[in-house]
Amino acid sequence: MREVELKPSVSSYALALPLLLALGALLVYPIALLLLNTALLEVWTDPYLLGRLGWTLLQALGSSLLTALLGGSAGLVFARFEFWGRQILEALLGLPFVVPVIVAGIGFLALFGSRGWVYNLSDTPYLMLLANVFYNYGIVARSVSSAVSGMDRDLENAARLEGATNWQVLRFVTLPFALPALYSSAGLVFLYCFASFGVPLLLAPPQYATLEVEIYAAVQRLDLDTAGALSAAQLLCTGAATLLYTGAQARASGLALTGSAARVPARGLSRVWLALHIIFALTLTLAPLAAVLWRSLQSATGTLTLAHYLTLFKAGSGVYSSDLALAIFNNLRFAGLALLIAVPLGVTHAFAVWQTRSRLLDALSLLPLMVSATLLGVAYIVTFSAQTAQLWLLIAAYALTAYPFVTRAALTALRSLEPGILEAARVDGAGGWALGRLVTLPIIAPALRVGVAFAFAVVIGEFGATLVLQRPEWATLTTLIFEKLSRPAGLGQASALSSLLLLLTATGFWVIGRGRSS
Amino acid sequence: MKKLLLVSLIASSALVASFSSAAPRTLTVITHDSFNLDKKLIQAFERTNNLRVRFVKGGDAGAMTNKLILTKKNPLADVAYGIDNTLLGKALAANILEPYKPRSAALIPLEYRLDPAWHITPVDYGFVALNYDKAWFAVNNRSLPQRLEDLTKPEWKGLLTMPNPATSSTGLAFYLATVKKLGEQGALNFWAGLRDNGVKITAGWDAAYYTEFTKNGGSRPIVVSYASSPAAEVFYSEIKLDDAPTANLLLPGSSFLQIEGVAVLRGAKNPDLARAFVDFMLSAGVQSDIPTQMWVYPVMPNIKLNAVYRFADQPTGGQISTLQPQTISVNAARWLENWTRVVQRGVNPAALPLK
Repeated sequence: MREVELKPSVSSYALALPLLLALGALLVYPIALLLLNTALLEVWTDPYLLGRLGWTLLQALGSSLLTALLGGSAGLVFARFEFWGRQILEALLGLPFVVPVIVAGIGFLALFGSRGWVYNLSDTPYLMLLANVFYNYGIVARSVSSAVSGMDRDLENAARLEGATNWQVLRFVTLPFALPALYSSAGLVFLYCFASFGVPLLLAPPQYATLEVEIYAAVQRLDLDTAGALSAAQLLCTGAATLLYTGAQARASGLALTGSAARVPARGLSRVWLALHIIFALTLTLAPLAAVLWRSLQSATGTLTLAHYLTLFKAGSGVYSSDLALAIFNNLRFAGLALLIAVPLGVTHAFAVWQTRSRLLDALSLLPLMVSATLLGVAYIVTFSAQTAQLWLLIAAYALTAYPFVTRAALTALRSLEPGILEAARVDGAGGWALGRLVTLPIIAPALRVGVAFAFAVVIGEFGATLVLQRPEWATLTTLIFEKLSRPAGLGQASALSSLLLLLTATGFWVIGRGRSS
Repeated sequence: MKKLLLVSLIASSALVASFSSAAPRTLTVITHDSFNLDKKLIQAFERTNNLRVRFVKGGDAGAMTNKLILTKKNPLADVAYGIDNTLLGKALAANILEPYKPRSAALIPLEYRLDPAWHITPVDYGFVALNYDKAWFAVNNRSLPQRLEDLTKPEWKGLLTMPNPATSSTGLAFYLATVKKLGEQGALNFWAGLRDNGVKITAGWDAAYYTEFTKNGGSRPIVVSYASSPAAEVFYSEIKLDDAPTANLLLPGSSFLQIEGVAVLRGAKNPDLARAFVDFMLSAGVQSDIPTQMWVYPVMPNIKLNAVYRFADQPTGGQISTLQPQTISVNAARWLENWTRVVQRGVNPAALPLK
């Protein structure tokens, strides 16, 4: 009996109420309103669109499997061994998440474009696959690392004493600890790759366009029938995938977490293995970003310069030219406000899912990642036309894209709680919410920090910003980057802004992740 | 009687005072993302008309027009800037614009007047045009194409990059120029030739310019951009340039004339303020500020251009193509569908339905 016995009570279900209400008002209602007015069966008869659907599934599956394999392996290694700069490396792994696709694309094409320094991958689907791994590797690596670093190393040592080989220890002792986090993060990656729009639009040749790209094109020609039908098909696929993986995750959970285990220095062959992972992680994550940093320091004649950075401090005279200070302030303000909503909402919902053990509530928490963002944008315009340019809607949209990370992280940690801890607390008279707050929160905090860090990254990045109409006074670093890239001679400044965005994110990660070891 | 007069005088002056000190009303202006004007001009406009301007960004011009059509029962703003001749037909068909003839209408040259019924007032115009990387052609000692059809010949194989007409208004404008110059069938044959000659299609202008164009590290020395881009390259350069790194490649019929306008939205809450904004956009201050804020030319005559414009040759006469807004709105869907089939799915143009 590993699972904590908590009878699902009415109050447990009531915990799910805040999120369900928010989802109902901000997601289900506008989408349903739009879909009810479209012809939903069209996609199933068009061979071209069916082909798109098949390819979208295939590339999402391929991308998430590849990411799970590479990121999972890295997570296991980084959880086991101590090495110089480990915390810095783990913080860096989250950076790709905030990079606007066009900026990452510039970095990628510098390396793998038609005149790429490394290899020409343009006009193949592999560039998209690579970009998907680049964007999501950190989610898997950090989730797995955080889960496994909480296991009791004595278990492994005991198995070795019993004569288990390294492989057997990994397979039967370590992996079961990693699996819940692996499923959880790989599931998120699948949803992201299935519904992503920027990466395939920019980096895949048109014959490899995904469903979301077709939805975007349909919306552009105001063909809401096709957009609606494709979105419904997309929702069906992502919904089915979500139910499958939340089930797998729930089954894999339930191993005892006792806190944090000490990492050991690598010896012998492990050193090589560790070095391989570090080099791969650095290359994958940092090479495209380094290409961007390099451009930010390069003048038109190829010499080193700080001119691009210095120019950023001179704001233009126009009403739409926002200054740097305002953009950074807005980034922090929006992130702060969105996290104020997303963190309590996400944690509360995780408690609700954990206590009720409802697969439906679990799957529903991923709804924002399942629906087409392009269609949601249209639904917002139609449903909230009077409120579209108001700040609360912007913050709500940000919070909606951010909380799933909090819920996933909290849920994974909650499910691995040692039952004894709760029983002891219960004997001492703690109950209900007090039990959650006083006993469980401190224990799940390390895993929760990873979730909050990624939620922060989502808000800092471009996600959600396209859902609602923007105002010039809401400029963020991301919109500033888009502004520079919408006119000639803007690459240097856009690269400088991207580098500042990376610095801001790394700082945020460091602040949020601080105390992980304590 | 005197007393009464005095009282009414005081009362009426109090009324006037209360009017002039009334809380300013808010005018909501929706624009595409590339809009910009000097803050001082907007502040002066706000003071003169005792109002506050609230700007809303509607995405690119195409996305903004779509949003205005989707919300026509509950308009997002009072006035919209940025609908151009490629989108106007769609906007007129959806009946989202309220006619208003601006005070200085008579001064606008005839060739820029978008609508005889003044549903929209032209503000500026520009050209979508081919740009080339001067250094690349010099270093590689290559000649420039002389006609559009040259781009389909082996000599210029793999040199062109451009944004997708289905996802970018810049790409669409260039496609429309070829339709005007070569006819519908001729254009599709031309595009089949470009496809076979390795044209590189990107999602948006930014990707074509910043990832594929040789000037920025790509492999294509010719890009579909704007006729003002070479001047903007000099203007925004952090080091002082004596010459532009790029130049316009003005072939017969290759430049598309884009005219952008401002329009009062049907159902606007503040139509009087919206009309004031339309007149404001034609004022000398705004018209002079437009060329270096938005990189397009003012429609009003006798506006002095910034000296940097000497680096951007303006297309003239036979180099310019344009189409009537109605022609575009009636045919655009079929043209785009056929383009996608030919260029992206490799279909033979002879097998396609034409008008």
